[in-house]
Amino acid sequence: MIWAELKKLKRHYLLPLSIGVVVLSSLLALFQLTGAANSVVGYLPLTDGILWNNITLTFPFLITFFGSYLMNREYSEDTLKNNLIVPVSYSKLKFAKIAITVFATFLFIAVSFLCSIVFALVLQYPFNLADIGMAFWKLLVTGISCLIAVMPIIAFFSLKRNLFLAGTCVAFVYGFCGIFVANTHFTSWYPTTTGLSIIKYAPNSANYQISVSIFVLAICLFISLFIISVIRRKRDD
Amino acid sequence: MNDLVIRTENLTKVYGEQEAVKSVNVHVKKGRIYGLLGRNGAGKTTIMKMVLGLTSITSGEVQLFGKNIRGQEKRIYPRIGAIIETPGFYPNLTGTENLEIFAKLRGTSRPDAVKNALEVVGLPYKDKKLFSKYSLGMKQRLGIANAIMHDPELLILDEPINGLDPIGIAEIRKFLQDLSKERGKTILISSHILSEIDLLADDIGIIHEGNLLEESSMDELRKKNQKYVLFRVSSTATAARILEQKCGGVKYRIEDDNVMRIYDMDIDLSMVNQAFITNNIGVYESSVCDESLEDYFKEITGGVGIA
Repeated sequence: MIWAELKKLKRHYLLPLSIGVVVLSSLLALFQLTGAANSVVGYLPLTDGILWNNITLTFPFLITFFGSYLMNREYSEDTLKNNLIVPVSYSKLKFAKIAITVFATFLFIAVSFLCSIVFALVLQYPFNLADIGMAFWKLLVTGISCLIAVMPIIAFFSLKRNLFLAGTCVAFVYGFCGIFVANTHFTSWYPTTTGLSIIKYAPNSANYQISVSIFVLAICLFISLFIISVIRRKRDD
Repeated sequence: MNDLVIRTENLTKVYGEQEAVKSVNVHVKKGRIYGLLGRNGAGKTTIMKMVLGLTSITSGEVQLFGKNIRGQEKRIYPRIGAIIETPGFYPNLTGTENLEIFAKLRGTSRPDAVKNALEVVGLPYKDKKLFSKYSLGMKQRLGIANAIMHDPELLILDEPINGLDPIGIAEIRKFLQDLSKERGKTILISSHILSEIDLLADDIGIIHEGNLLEESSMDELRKKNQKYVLFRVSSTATAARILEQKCGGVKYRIEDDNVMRIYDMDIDLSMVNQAFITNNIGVYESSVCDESLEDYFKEITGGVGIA
């Protein structure tokens, strides 16, 4: 299934376009860092900027777009029927798409990480192995939490044909609202900003409760699984 | 009953207020080609979708290979190849790549299954052309290749010759006939093209506005089709009046102002001709004809032609 899903992406614009968006987001973080007056420049501040843009601007809508588009194209390209009579069950197909979305998210995280290193090298920001490890950890955790946070949106907005753009818009607003939540007591409660809480984005902040963040992400996973199983029942009926 | 590959019982589909399929009982026998004939929108695709479990059944039952498909999908689907509506494939992939995906998902064991299937439908193997660049005919051929790739016992083909050129149609017809006659495959094929069903099918089901009006073998249907005498005259209204006067009770049908059919073959035609002429009715043609499938279709659907 996973092989088939990967093959379906061959020559498709979706993956290169998504990687381009991630690179642009990282570039934006670089400009924000170098353009701001009195800002502390360096490798870790750059990484913080990249992950901030990832969770508030790019990842929520990009992951949602990627995941729900994968499902929607089975409707729009009328290939769902060919899969169903193989037979590949609807829920298996959906889980395979989610698996590809997870892989894609890891790829986006890797691209962000690579950008942080390349930009730091170009701008000659000093960094050591511990910094690289820390940056990777932060990007990984915030990326994964973002993925889990948008999973219910992906599951819901791929219920029907051509809803994926609406889902993408909802996810963008959902992610953008993270900007206003990030420095409040709700950081650990708001799904897209849970990653900030887990990595202790602002080390001196008292707003972070890791257990709450993990609980919120678990709820998101539960809701996603519930929606997917509802789809399966609906399809079976 | 055991030789039935598909059996539906009072199969009904309701969309909102509209009853698209009304208590249909289809019986497809093993090793035969069953043609489902009907106008566009008659309910053919809906029946096929219900048979394949692609749309829910409002009421009634479908049995495939003697079993209800629900819960048996994993056992039954590998025995079926199907094209429903337009062939749907991934446009960013070539024909070969598309088939490779479905071969892999099906677990098709033969390594040359994709190549063979493409050869059968006359498409090149490992071609660089993307599906998005295919003509409608090529797409249709790829759909057929996908349906036959895993050597299924039953083929369910919804309007498979749409978009094919005449030579392509003849090739696919010959291929389907060979599959049925030489390899014992069962085929359920739908079409709104009457001549195709006439040439291809062993059995026929005529569907109109969701009702299965007729189900029989083509041989039986041909026997049923009546002979008639076609008259081309100056006025069918006057001719009909004369006919009533001279040979009361004769079975006839008026086609239009100038054409009528007399179905009573025992009638004295020379007397009818003479009666028409003496009553100043111009007789331009009189000939003995066989009722065609199209005539029969018109007759049982209440006069509406096909297509």
